[in-house]
Amino acid sequence: MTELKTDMNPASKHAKIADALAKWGTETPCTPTKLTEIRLDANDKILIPFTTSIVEIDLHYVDFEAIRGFLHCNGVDCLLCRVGRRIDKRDLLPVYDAVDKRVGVLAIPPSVRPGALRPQLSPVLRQLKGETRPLVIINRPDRGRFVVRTQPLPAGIDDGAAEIARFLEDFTQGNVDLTAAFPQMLNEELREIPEIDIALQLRENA
Amino acid sequence: MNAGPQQMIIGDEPLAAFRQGLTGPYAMTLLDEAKGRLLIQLTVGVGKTQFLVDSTIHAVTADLFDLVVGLVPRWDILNELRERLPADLRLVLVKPRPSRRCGELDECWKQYEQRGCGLLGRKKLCGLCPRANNCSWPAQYGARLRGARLILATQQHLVLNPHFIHHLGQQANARRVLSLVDESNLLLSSTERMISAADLARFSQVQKTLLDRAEQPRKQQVEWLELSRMIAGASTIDLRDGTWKFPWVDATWAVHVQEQGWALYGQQFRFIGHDLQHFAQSDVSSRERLTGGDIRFASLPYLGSKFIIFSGSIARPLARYRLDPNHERPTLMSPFEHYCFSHPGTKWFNLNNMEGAARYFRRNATRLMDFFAVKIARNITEGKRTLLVSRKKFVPLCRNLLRERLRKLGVEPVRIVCRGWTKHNLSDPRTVPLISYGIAGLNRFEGFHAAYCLNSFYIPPAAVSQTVQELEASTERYAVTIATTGRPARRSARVELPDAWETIIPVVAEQVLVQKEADVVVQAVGRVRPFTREREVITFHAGELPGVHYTREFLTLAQARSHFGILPSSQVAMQVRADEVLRLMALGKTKKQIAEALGVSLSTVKRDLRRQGGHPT
Repeated sequence: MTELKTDMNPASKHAKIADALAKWGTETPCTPTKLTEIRLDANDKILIPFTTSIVEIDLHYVDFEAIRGFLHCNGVDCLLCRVGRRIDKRDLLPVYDAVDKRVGVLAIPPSVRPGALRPQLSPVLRQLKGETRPLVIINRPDRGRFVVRTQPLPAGIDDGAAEIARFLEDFTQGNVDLTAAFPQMLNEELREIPEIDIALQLRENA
Repeated sequence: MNAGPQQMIIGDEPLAAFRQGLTGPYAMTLLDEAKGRLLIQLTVGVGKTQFLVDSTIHAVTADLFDLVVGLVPRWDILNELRERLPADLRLVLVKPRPSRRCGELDECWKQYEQRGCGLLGRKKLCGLCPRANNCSWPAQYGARLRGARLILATQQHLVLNPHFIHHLGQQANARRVLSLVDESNLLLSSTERMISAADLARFSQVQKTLLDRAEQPRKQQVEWLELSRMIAGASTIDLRDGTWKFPWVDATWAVHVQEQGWALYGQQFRFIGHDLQHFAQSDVSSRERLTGGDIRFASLPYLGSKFIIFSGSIARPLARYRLDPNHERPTLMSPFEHYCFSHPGTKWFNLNNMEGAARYFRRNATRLMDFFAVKIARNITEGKRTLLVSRKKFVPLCRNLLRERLRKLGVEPVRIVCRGWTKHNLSDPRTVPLISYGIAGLNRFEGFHAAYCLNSFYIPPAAVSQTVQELEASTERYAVTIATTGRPARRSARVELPDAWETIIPVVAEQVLVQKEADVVVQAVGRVRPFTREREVITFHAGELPGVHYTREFLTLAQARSHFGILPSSQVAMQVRADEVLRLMALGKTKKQIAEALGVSLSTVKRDLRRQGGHPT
């Protein structure tokens, strides 16, 4: 097998040759169940909550030319922390998307003020503890407010029981990683993003 | 000294040991542990101010920060802090405009200030001022702050400009900034801002006029006008979702706009450049376009990435909510929130009924002052000093009634003083200061032996509601009520939320009630240091007080009288008369003569004699 040297291709200054398996191993969740984030916007999402189990996660919101959205915080020595990107804490709740017919992850911010998601979902989760499974309709009309409505699960609809059962089996066996709904980048990869590189240089030379 | 279960500090020795640990280096260790967000809650009299002083000195002298900013509630407290700092510690004071020195120009100044046209005021009025050469105020920012290591100012600056600390950091060219806040009510100060549609229209029109005249308009000028027009037409959704970023308020541009605005609209014009910048950094959920087209938003105070709040009582969740309502930042660390301080010799009584409430006080004032007059008279006889507390509007009534009663009790001359503390001999027990609720940080009464609240201090639900709701948009505001229940009575704030929402609002409402009502009582009587020295305190409150364990609560005035062995005034008068009847009887007077001498009926004389055990016939 031939190893390429990075300086052989001067055009791709930022390209870095890496081992595919090592790299993909860090980016791909090692679970058979692929989860995606349920993104809330002004359009209704029709969801069926089925568990009160959540996973806490620290994320960073980035808005760079190359990438925009939430990334995992890399913990101690996280490059995004070092360049002063705020940590956003989220509680990840698996829910069944009744339209897409699959389990997804709802990222719930810690805010408990009126109009936030968490205080409106808490009573719904309490209903779950009481063995009632409501249908939850959520939208986010603007950046400052969520609207959560509930209604009884209509009779005869596909409530995703089979899918949920499969998920819960995997989840209880530890085969599901809810945090995998968000991308993770190693510090070395983050350093390749020009905005981060500049911020680092400025901070280190200040 | 880590947070944990309730920790009691009772008496002089444990207190001295505790105070010894409150050093500057310890404050910085706590700040590190708190990741820069530290709340120091220390009961009144425990050593909050000294801890603030030590923290300031250490933060500056140990070169831990480029700039330390100290913010205190009032000028007298700032002067006290300044006196406690070493003379060789270089500091810069940020002063308010010296309105008295401005003399005749002050009225014009106020007009400019009220309309956001301070820069125009400086140009027009300071230019005319005969004292301008000797006035340091106009040039106190800019070069004067360059390289400053310690800046002291009152909190009013942060109320007017929520990004005042950031501004100071920039002016001082400082990267590592520490804010030290001596909290009184800063965190409960109103954050609600309003930009009226009319002001916005005039602001845009003035900019357009200037731009039309400009031969080579600057990019910033064009950008300001575009954004001003854009926000004028933005809906609530746009106000929340858009990334609003206004250019820097360039002083030359601002003066031109203010000059033009004043010329076009006079006092109707308002310069809103700074307001729009505050809007851009405001809490997103609070932003809304009101029906009339006005824009409302909440502008939260920014204390920087490292700060210590020194507070007597503010609850941690409330402080956090007021600084970071979305809980986006790490929580505040409060290492002393579980500490409880008391002095074993202090006796704290509470009169728990509504007779002292503003609505009922006038009709009960005579009975109540009879009781307190006897307590004051006894203290005077024992050589003890007494501090009195009243609602401001009842101060004259209380003073007059007490003077009259004390005269009847024969303890003249007693001076009940309400102000001008330095003019009176406060070490004389016959000088009885009467302060009003709301006073904090006044340290002239530390040596007093007793503090009595002559009436109660309650706030209406609207006052709680305003503080609780002002961070929320109209659609998310819910009514707050205050309920008084139980026996002994306890006041509590309640919020009705839809669909069983589990928000922080009920918790915040309760804590606002405590902070704005019960804590005001504690701060007032706290002037005599009841938590750290042996004192007698009588409060008049339908509820618990933060950090206080009552020695005894009285549900009625009669219970209090009975406890202290004080007769009601009617019985006292009867007793005096009966004694006189006996005395005259002993002088050989007949009952008829006695009745005539005392101006009462014969049957009254007979009854008095029966009561005294004498023969009525």
